[in-house]
Amino acid sequence: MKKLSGFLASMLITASFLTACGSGSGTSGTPQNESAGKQEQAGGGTSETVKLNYWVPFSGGDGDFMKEMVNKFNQENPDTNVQILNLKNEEYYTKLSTAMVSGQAPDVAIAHTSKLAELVPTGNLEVIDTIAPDLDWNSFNPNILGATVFDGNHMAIPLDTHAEIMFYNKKILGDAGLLDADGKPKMEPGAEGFVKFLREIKAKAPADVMPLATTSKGNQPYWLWWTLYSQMGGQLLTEDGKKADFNNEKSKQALQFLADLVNEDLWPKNIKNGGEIFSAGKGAISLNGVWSTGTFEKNKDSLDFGAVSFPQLYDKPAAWGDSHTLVIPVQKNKDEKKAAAAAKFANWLADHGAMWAKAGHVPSKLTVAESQEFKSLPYRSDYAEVANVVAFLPNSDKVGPIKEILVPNFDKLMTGQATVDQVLADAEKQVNDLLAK
Amino acid sequence: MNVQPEASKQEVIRTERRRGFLNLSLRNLITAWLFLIPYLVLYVWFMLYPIVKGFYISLHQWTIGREPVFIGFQNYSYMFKDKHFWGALWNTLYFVILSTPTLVIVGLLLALIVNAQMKGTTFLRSAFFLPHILSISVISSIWVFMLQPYTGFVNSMLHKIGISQEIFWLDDVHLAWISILIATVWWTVGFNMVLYLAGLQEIPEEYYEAARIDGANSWQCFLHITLPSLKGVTLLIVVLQSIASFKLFGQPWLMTQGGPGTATRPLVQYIYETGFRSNEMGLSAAMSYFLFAVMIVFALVQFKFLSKKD
Repeated sequence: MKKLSGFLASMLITASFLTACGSGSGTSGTPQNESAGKQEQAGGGTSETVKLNYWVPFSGGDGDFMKEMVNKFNQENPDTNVQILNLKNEEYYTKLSTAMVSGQAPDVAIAHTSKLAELVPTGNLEVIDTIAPDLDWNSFNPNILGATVFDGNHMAIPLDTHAEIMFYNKKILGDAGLLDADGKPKMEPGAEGFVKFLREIKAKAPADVMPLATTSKGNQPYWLWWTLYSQMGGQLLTEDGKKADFNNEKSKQALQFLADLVNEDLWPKNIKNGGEIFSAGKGAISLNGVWSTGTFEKNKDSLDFGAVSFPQLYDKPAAWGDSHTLVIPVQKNKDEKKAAAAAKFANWLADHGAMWAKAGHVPSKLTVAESQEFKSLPYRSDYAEVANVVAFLPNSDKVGPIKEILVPNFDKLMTGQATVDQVLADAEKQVNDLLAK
Repeated sequence: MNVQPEASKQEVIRTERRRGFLNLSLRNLITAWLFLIPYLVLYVWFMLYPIVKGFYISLHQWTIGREPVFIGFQNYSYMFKDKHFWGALWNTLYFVILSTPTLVIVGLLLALIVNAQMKGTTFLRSAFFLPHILSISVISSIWVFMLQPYTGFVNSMLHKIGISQEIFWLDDVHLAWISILIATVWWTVGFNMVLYLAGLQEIPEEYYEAARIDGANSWQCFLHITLPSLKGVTLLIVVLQSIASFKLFGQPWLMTQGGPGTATRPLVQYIYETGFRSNEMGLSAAMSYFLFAVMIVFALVQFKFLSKKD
């Protein structure tokens, strides 16, 4: 008897483990199952309804705005039912790639323009031209659209662009007498003008105010370097994409400019929360992504701020930027109806870019950017023109790994561990090693 | 099953007589396997298979979403030429060297405190152990909140008492390591303390009595009774602690992101970045294998050391 019960117990334990594993390994499928259940309810049993799974990597406010848009789409289009699944940004692309490989890809998904070069060669994305031949590509901003075209094929439907712009605290600048009659920062042109402007802030503003409140490590220095370097017409890689092309005078000048701001204490060292400091009214200006507009707005009772395109410090206007685009993954069981519905949904989102602009992003469609709905939003029109000058990173599947090399190297410069020459030489060698592999 | 050995033995004999064809040792074997199989299935599934598969991946250029390309040992040769790989490996070793003695000594001190005959030791015991039950993300958030420049708790306090200089706890090469060490000690030392406490309570009181009669003072008691009696526990803790320190990842990842630059980037973080950010699974697997080898060698050396002493 004892043995039997022991045996039973062990079987029970095994069984419980196995079921645990079963549900564990099935996590990637769970949201779909869940949403499938909801869809049945929402669809009301009509067999005509096309159900679409839609994946997004939005944190914070972005996610809420997107959910709002999906709800509106579902209301307006009873024949289509979109189920949104919001995943963590950190793990989004790993999950998306894995899902595509294992034949569990969503019907439509967000992908950054900078990630397209990694996704397109896998052959897991549908060419939009074949799915939606009637789509009016002329309605898109050519600069934003251009970055999503591969070998003459449209691989994605752009939704927005989110670029680096300049925010300024009107109260601080006003008190220091640094605003012009239009309430815009009074700044002389060029790099010297910008530095002079920051020095004046430092001299005139209260001591606890940072002239430039931007996170001084990680992504931001990298984005700022790319912005300034692009303003000088620099490029990341050689034309054939096989060698690094950023260890040159222009690049050094851009990087040295950033290092000098830190050395002169106009841009405090080692800030991790530049946005928060600006938001708390302790920063005079903040170079930051457009998405911050949505965040800063929440504080508008205590924070009187303005936003303008990234100032032109060198030869031509340019700013780092990326886009959210919509891609249609290849499905294991192709369903033309679904793919067409996905394209329609994606285009609908782009058409309703004014709703999406509430998060701060600049719409991808020219018609939307000129619409009254968009223009009536505060701040946005002041920097909407940045869409024409966004400097996208090149279409190389190594852009992601290259960023992983550049960011820590630039951090070394920003913390004073290395000089510009050392940093660029080191990064160039690593990138060349990477590309030669 | 040991409750009634006689009865069960008789039962066994009886059953055996009944079914002569199934002898005792075979039945024992079956029973043993039935007990082992549940674990073995999980072990093979989640340990052995991934280990073999990891080696297989390390021989390929492996990118999620693309066909793997067999490239032999090229990942390994690339890895050995990559100075950031060596840098990350050194960072991990540095942390092992830095943290193991600290955690062992602090653990012993805390155990001595809570083992003392005074009031409030139960409270101290829980207080020292409490951080251990928190997750790494909570620990790191707390310390980032405390140590961040301009707005952090520690710097604000220092400003209040008149130190106006801004101290970059997480952005200075040396301070960053110290910050990570402090956070790690605060987080994990409770476990070592508990092990030492168990060791301390096993030392017979008679030893101390005898020593005191012989006129030994507290320091001598500690040096000649307590410490030698804890030798076994200490070796255990050193082994466990150094293996744990080799696996360092969460604290620097969440506190310094491996920075400033790459100054606190441990090997596990580099493996993660290579695999999941740069999408180089093959190279990532190769580096994991190298770390695996280093840890095995380290453990074997310690094991040898351990068994020799006893």
